[in-house]
Amino acid sequence: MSNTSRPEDFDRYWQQVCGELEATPIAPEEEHLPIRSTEFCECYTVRFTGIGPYRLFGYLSIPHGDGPFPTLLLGPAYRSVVDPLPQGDANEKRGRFLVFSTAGRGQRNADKPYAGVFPGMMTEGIDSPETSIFRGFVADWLRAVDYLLTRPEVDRSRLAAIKQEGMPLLTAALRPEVTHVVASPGSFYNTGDQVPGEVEDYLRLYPEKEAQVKRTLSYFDPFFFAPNVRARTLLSGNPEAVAPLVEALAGETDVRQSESSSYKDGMFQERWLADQFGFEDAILPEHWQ
Amino acid sequence: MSQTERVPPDQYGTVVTRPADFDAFWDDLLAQAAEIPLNAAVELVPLRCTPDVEVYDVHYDSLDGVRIAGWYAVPRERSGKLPAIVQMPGYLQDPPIPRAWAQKGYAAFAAAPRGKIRSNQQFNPGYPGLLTHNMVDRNTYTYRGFYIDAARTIDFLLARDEVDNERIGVTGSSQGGGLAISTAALRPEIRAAASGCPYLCGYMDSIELTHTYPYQEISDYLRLYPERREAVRDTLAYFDGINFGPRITCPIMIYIGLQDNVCPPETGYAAFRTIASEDKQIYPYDGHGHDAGSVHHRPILEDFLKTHLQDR
Repeated sequence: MSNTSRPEDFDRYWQQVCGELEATPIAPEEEHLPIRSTEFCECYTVRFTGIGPYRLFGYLSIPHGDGPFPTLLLGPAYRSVVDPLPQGDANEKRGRFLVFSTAGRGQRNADKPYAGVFPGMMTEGIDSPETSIFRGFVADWLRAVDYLLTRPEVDRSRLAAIKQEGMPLLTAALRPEVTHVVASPGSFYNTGDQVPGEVEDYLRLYPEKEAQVKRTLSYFDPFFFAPNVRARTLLSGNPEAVAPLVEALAGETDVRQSESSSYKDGMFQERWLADQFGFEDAILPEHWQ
Repeated sequence: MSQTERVPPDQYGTVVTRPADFDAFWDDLLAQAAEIPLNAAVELVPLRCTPDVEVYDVHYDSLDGVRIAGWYAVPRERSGKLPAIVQMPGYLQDPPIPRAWAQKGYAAFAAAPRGKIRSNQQFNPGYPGLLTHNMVDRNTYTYRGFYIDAARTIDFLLARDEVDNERIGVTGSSQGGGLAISTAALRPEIRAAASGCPYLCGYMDSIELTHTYPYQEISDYLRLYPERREAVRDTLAYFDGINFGPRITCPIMIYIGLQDNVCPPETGYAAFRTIASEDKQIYPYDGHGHDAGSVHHRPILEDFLKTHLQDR
C-alpha cells in the first residue's frame, strides 16, 4: 500500500492532460548539430510543443545505418541542465541507440518564458494539482514519446524511458508504447510520511497548507500509475521500501538495491538494458571495461 | 584504449606541460580581481531557513563585471567565530544550499560561478558548451572568470564578522574537486582542501582516456576544428589543475574512484603528484566510479576538515 490516498479524480485529471496533448500539435523543428555528430551518428536539436502551449527542447541522436533503432528516451530530470547523453555514458552508445534527451519546461533551452530555479521549481504552483509545475513536466515526458513515435527510425519494440527517478514510470503508464523502463520510485512516492526537502521547506513556512500540498503530490505518486505500467522495468531502490510499488506494477519488474557505487550500479543498468534489447554486450565507458 | 592496454592509473604520466608564465598569468588576474569591489548583497531567505540554520541569498561582483550568486548558511546558535567551508559545484550541478555543513558548525558558502543558473544573466554559453567556450584564447576562456568567481568566495567569507579568517576550507567533487584545487592554489587563506574525483585536471589526457561527457565536449570541438588543437592545448594548460599543484601548500586530500568513467583516475593521480603541500594524501577506491567512494570516504573527509578547521 501507498501511504498517500489516490485522488478521486486521478483518472480524470490525467485524461485531461492527455487530451490537451492530443489537441496540441507537436510542431517539431529539427536542426542538424554538426558539433555533436560523429562518425557513427548524426545529432539534431529538436524544438517541439507541449501543453500550454510551451516550446520544449531535445537533443536527438540517430545512428548511421539502416534503422529502425532501439531507442532511449532520456527525459527531463529535476535539474537545470540537459546533456545529449548522460554524463559518463560511453559516447559510442549513440551509434547503437537512437537517443532523445529532452528538457522540460523551465530547464535550459526550454527556459523561456518560464525559467525554473533549482532549488525552487518543485514547489512552483504546488498548492493545487491544476497549477503544479509537474502537471506540465509530466506532460513534457509524454510529449517526448509522442515526438519519437513520429520518427520512422524508432524501433517500437524497443523504446525505453530512462531516468533515476519516478517520471519514467508515470510516462509508461500514460504512454503504453514505452516498452522498457529504468527508474527509481522518485521523490513523489509515499509522500504521506516523508516529503522532498524543498517541499519540507515550503511546509515549514506554510504549515497550514500541508493537506493541500500532499493532495497535490499524490497526483504524481508512481504507486497510483503502477497498475498501468506494463513495460519491462528495472527499478532501483530498497527492496522493502519499494515492495508495494513493485507489487502494483503490471509489468515484470527487476528490483536492484544500489551498492553506493556509480560503477557497479551503472554496469548493472547497462547490462540489463543490453540484455533486454537483445545485445550480447553492453557498450561501456573505457574505465568500466 | 582497452583495459589490457591501459597502464595502471597511478603509473600514468600526463601530457600536460606548465606554461612558463603560468604563475604570472594568475597573479595578474588575482591582482585585477582585487581591484574590483565585492559589492556583496546578502539577503535572508526565510523559505530555506530551518530551526538551526539561517540561509542567505548572496550576490557579489567578479571579473568582467559579472554578478555571481551563492548560498550562505550559518548555524543560528554560535559563540565566537566560526570555521568556514566553501562547497564548490559540479559541472552539471545546480549549487545546493550547504545547510548540512552549517548544521556541523561551519559558516558554509556554496558558489554558483558564471554560467550556472542565478549567475548566467551576463554569461551563458550553456551546457554543453561551457567547457569549450573561447577555448582557443586564455584571456577569454570560460574558466578564467569561473576560477576567479570561485576564488572570490574567500573574499566574501573574509568580510564576514562571524567567520574566523584563519579557519577557511574548501571542498567539492568533480568540477567541485577541480575548483577546490584551483582555489586552494589561488588563495593562501585556505587552510584545508578536500577534492573528490577532480575534474579540470588533465583535460588533454582525459580526451584520450575516456569518451564520455563532459570531456567529450572537447573531443566534439576538435573533431569539427582539428586545426585548432594546438591552440586548445596551449589555452587549457593555463587552467589545468595539474599545473595549479605547485602553488598548493595547505593540507589537502584527493579521493578518486578507480573506475571513474567521467574524470579518469589517471588524472587524479597526476594532479596529486604535482601538489607542493607536505601534508597531502590520496585515497583511491577500487570498485567505484564517479562517486569516488564517497560512501566510504565521507567520514574521513569530515574528520579531515574538522581536524584542520574546527579543532584548531
